Amino acid sequence: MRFINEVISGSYSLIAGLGITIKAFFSPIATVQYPREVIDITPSYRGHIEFVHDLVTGKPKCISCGTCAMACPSNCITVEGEPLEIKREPFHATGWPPAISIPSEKKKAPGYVERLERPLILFELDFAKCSLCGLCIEVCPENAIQFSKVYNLAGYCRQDSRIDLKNRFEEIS
Amino acid sequence: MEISADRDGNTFYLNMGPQHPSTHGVLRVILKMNGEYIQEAECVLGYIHRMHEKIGESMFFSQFYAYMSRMDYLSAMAYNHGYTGLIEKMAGIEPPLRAEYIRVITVELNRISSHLVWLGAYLLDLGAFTPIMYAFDDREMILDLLESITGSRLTYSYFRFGGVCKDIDEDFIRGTRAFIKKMRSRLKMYDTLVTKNVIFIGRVKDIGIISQDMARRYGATGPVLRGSGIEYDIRKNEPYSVYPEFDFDIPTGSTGDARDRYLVRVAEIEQSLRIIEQALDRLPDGPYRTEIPPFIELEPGDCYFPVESARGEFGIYLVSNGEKRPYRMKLRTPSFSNLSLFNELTKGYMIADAVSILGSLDLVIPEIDR
Repeated sequence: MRFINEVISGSYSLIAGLGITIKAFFSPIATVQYPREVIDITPSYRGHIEFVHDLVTGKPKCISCGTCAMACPSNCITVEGEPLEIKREPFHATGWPPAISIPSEKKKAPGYVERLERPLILFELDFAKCSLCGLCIEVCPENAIQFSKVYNLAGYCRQDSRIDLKNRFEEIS
Repeated sequence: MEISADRDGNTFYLNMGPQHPSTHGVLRVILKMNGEYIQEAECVLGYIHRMHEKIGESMFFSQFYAYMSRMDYLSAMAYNHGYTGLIEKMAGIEPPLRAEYIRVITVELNRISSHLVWLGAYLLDLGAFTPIMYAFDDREMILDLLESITGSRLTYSYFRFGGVCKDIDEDFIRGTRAFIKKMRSRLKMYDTLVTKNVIFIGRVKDIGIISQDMARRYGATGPVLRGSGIEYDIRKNEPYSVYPEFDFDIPTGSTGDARDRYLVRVAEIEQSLRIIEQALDRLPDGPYRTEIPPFIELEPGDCYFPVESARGEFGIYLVSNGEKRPYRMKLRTPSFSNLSLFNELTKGYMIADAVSILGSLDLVIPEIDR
């Protein structure tokens, strides 16, 4: 008797399970045919970093201070800038170029502003090492970098993963 | 698998792994067999050792976020929570209440997704192919939700000292509520499809029984311990974050076999849904982050901070000598302790049962080796 009970309840459980599978057979398709159909990327997607486009000047905001390179846990950012130079130029409201330190009120000539400037020579990202943690973006004093929306990042050799952000910025803009 | 026989011909050694589908990673088990029956199972670790503790000692505190999520890729949020919680405790940083609620919501969502992966993969080990499709379908909803706020799908670096890096929006809250509703109906479906299935019951019932004494001896935590009937959950026993404000139960098993561990995990999904629901209802307004300097220094001293990850107690012990980098960092991971049960558990079982036992322990190998 117990054996028959077990057979009946066991068979019922299998049929009930099969019923769920059959139900799923008629439910909408959950998968996407990837190369032909592409799902939109969410706005917060993290691709590799890129320079923020300064709407006023059309140049990168980077002042090559190197804070991002220091904050990076994997040492994947290389920043090189020209030696520090003091530039005296007419004061304008755009705020460009951004200053590392703004001189005190005394030194300021009327109508002019003195800026410590370090023009950027090289900003290279070794994407193979990058873990997309976003620390470089958070520590940047000028908010000069952001996550890009690039996701096709396959390459043929290791050098393909080294991205020169300055060149890339000039190519795009 | 590789087989080498002993001289007498009765006992032989069977090498399982490191590349074996049921070990879910690079775990190698040397099985001493007597015919079909296992006499001893020796686990060989170290295939994916990455020196996380040493890396942590060579970095600024804030640089180690990303490494925490690489240890346990299935419940990365809980690991981030452990690390940020520890540093906040040592530095005396008080995160805003909204940040704490967001943390709880995301950690619990991540716990559900981790249990769903386990559910699918475990049943795949046992020979059932269909449930992993349903489990991954549900998990996809969680991944989409978490991706919309964190930007990544698996190894999140979402928590920061003093809060989280991005606020949650109305879309996320709406999506989470829809997910809770859907998941409740799916749990009933899993119950019919898996829990009551006669083949599944045959594969897990009275297999790998862990007695309470044995679980205590090996320092097992999480669903493995609770499956044996011990009510121990860090969220209740050593409350951290805002967990004391929520009303939830600790599901426990009775016999401690593989089926109990399965039932505990499925019940935990329901409890996590309850926590998320309460957290969404009471989500306070306000800032989601307090601004603190990126390179912080800690006072000399030491601290241990445990959190409940999807697999059990994850704790970090950190010694600081007042510099910008930790002097010593020790990571206590749950899977390592849970794996140590394996030798004693599998004695006298067949290989097919050993696979069932290994799956029921819910191991993540990068977390064991770290």
